Amino acid sequence: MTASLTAVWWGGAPAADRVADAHLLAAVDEALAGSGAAAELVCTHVDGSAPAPRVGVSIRLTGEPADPAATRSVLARALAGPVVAGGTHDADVAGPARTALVEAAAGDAGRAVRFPGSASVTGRVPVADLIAATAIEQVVGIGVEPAGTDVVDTGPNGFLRPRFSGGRLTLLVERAAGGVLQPFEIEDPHQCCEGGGH
Amino acid sequence: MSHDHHHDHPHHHDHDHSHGEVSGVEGTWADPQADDPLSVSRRAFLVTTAVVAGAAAGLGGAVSGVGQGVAAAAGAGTTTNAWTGRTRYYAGDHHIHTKYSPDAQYDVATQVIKGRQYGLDWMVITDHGGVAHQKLSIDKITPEIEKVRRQYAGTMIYQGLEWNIPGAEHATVMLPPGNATVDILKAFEAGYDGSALAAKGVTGNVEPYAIEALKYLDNQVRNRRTEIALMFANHPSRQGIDSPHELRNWRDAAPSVAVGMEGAPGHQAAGIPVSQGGPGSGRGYYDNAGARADRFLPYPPESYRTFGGFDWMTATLGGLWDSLLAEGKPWWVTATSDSHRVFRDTRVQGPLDFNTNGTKGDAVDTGRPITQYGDFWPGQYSSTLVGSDSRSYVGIMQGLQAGKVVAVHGRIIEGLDVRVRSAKDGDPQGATLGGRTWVRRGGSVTVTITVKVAGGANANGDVPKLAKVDLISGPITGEASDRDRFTAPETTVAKTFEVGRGRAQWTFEHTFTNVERSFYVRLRGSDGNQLDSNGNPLMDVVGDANPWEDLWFYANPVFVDAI
Repeated sequence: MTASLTAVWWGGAPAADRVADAHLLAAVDEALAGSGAAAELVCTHVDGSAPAPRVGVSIRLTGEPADPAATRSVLARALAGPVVAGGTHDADVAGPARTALVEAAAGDAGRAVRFPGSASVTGRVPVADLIAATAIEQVVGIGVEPAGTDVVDTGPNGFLRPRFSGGRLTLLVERAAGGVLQPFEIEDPHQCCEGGGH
Repeated sequence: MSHDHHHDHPHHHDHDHSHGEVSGVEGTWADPQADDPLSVSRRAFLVTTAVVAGAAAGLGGAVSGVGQGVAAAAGAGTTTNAWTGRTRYYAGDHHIHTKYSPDAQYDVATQVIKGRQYGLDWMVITDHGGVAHQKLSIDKITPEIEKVRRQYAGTMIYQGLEWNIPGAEHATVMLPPGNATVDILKAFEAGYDGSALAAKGVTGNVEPYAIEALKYLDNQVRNRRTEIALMFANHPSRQGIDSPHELRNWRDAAPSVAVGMEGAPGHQAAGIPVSQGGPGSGRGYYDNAGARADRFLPYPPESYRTFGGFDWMTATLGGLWDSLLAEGKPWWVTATSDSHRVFRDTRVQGPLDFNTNGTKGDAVDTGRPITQYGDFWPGQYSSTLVGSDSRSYVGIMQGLQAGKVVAVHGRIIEGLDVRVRSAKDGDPQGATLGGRTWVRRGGSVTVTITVKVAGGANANGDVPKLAKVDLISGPITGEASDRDRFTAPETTVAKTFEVGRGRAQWTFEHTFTNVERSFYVRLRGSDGNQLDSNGNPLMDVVGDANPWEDLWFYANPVFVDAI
């Protein structure tokens, strides 16, 4: 997806217990409420600059908040980690936030938790409609070549997590039961050793 | 895996070292160096350090160089796993959970009775490692295992552990019964289980702890506290966190302990579609998209799926497994149940709090089949056939260690005799699975395969029909300079044999002529139901993968040195 030159990008380094999709979106929306701006694209990124990899988040805002510094600091509290604005060249920017901003700018990585049009999708949707109605630019199949008329079952909640690849927001799909396609990332994959000490 | 790669572990591989007997692992485990008092005392000190200090033991690789790969240790011109034509196979499962895992529910006896019913000769009890398991469960399960061993004396029941490998996936750790077995397991789990380490606040790059852990086990063998110890990496591709360099590092740190991986994960019933009354999940519970931040990023999306029920590392022709074999080093594949809660069983977990009891307690019968469960009983679908000269705990483990191993689903085959030899230009006796033989450059090597097909119905009531056997070969290209390599592009199907009907066993032969390079061969076979245009297995569809309709076996390699 090509962002306009005036797009406002922020990068964050959420604490480990804030990186789950629902927590992340709730923290972002809560912090931005009443700020005059909203998050229209929220992506997670993997930062490998430290021995243990961490998750960073990139956020594209609908515009500049009324008080950017204050809003950033509210968001930093919500994420329990630093938040920086894109375009700043602060050497002290934490690894995950910097990685998120760099990858978002290049469009070569990043997993979209929210993207324009994502809220409108639910249930079974033809590939062509997904591309027309959302920011998803291409639908790529694993072991299958999707046609525009092929149907993607996004589930009752319209769960989609497209990833940036080569500058394009790409939804990976695979075959599913019943002759439809399903997103490669599903909402409820099996959790191994649930309740375990792992 | 951790992002911070450490490629510089020094390893000493003495290829002139000989175990003194052609039979290799079937012979003595006495290590000449172990009788050196200085060596023994030094090793005893190191082991003590590891027991007492556990994970706090130095991570500097002080014990590097111990351990020799069985096949790798043999010099050119020698044969290991010499073919005899008399190999007896024992069916087993090295990955079974009980109510002493927080996510499982059966008694040891229940699992063993089921495994016996489905024809297993040996089983390994592998409950999840963790703080509560280490403190509470081991002491509770030990007498239970001992009791069941007495009740079912004909079945070998190993006490093991499903180890949370620091920085990676799970692994089977197994030991034969012995005076020190429980002590070793407890010390190992306290010192090196990933969740125990995390509970101690150990963070960052924890990969070196896995190396130390395997060396610790190796030292228990060298100090004769146990006759043998083995580790198999379980469901290696499930979350993308077993990176290629980690697999190589485990193998090279303790080649006689870290000997392989699940070629096929358990949970094979999970893919049965809802429309057929099944859980409708991913076969093997391989249904995620690589969500973990610590995954190995270069793994492709399809690596998170099974292919014909087998893990991507094993199922991909010229893939990760082949890239390991192309180094000429042992790395074996198996098939297990990973049985926690069995498809259509009527029981649910007991009510106890695991963390305070070390068990969920006895399972509770609901009286109705539960179709969300994705596992099979031990032996019901998956089995690991192990060739051994003796029906004994150590004998079976030596067969596993030696790679005399075939991974089988749904009784697609019952037995396999493989002989690789050069009658005129090398060793005319030849080698069998997991072994190594040799040929003079320019000579011929003949592979003779006798496969015994199913003589009756499998646990689904079908008599499976083997449709084809692929003979796969690839050159041995030496140690990988890139420790994260996961391709072997020169590995190909050399020959496909079609299997007819009406015979109990079939013999096939193929001769490689004018052999100039060292190479390996391995076999796989299929019921032919689900193949791509190249005869490879298809990616299993999440929610639509009935395992009974897609059966494969994979046999471990034989290496041939061209000298």
